[in-house]
Amino acid sequence: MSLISRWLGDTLAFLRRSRDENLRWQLSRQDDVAELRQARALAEQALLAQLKKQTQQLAHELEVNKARNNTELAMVKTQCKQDLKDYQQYLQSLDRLKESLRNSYAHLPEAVAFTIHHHAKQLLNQMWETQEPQEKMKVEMQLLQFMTAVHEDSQASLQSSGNEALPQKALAIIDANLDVK
Amino acid sequence: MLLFVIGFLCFQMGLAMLATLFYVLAGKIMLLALGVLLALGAVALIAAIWRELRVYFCREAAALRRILAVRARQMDAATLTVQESRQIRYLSHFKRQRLLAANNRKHLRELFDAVNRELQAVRSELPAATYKALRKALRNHHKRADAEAILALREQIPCR
Repeated sequence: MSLISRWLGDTLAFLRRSRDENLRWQLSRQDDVAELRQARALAEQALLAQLKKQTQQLAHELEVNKARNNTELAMVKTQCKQDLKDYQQYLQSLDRLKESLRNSYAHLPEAVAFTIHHHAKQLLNQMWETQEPQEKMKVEMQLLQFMTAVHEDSQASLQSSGNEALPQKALAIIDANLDVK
Repeated sequence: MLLFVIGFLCFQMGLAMLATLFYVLAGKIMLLALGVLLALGAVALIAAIWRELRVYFCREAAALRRILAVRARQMDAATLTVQESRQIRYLSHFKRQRLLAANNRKHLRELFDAVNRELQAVRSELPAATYKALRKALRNHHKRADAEAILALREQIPCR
């Protein structure tokens, strides 16, 4: 019995010593621990403030980007609408050109008028679908030259009181283009 | 485990009472150990979940998540703009194609009518079978919107 009570006493003494030692260590490090806690709290606050600032900046950027994107989309829409309108006007002017050819040449076969109109339309589509500006300009010039030739043919026919059988200049340009192809 | 061994030794030595006592004690201690192990596991699990929840709901993590959400929205907005712009261009292209198709149809119809008139004009000079064949071919070419074939067919019509 005395052996057990001695063991118990030794164990309790060991525990008390350990706790005393621990308490002394904590007391000696209390300042350091408080300093570390304060530093940690400050660092957390600074990080939080930085993150909040970053969030605000990003939110502002998002708003600016949204506005810019909306403007960009509106511009694309307007551009496409204008593009479509231009294309429609081009088609109408080509139709008028065909009509003026018919009026100038009383006995012009429909096949010839169709061929001239079709060629002009091909040039127009080629011009529209070309992405490269230089090539686009070149095709546009070709179209303008062709339309000018058709117009000149019409004028010449009207001046010669409809004696001309066919629009020679326009047909010559079509032949030349076919040869090139 | 040691208690089990001692119990076994007691049993071998013929100390049945002592062996029973050690066995019962060993069983209880093992059960207790198992219970303590389970309790420790549960405590560790709860502590881990609590730690993760604290990390998830701490203010820094929430601020970081807000930043990531704003960035994701920025990227979404950029992608949406590109897609919408592509859609607008596609629709415009589609409308232009429709305009062109309508114009093509109109002029092809005019060409068809003109060639048809020319064919009617020489009907009496052509054998009935040839006339019928030409007319059928003309209709087919018109149906297929083949202008070149109509022009080629026109070349076959004699004495215009």
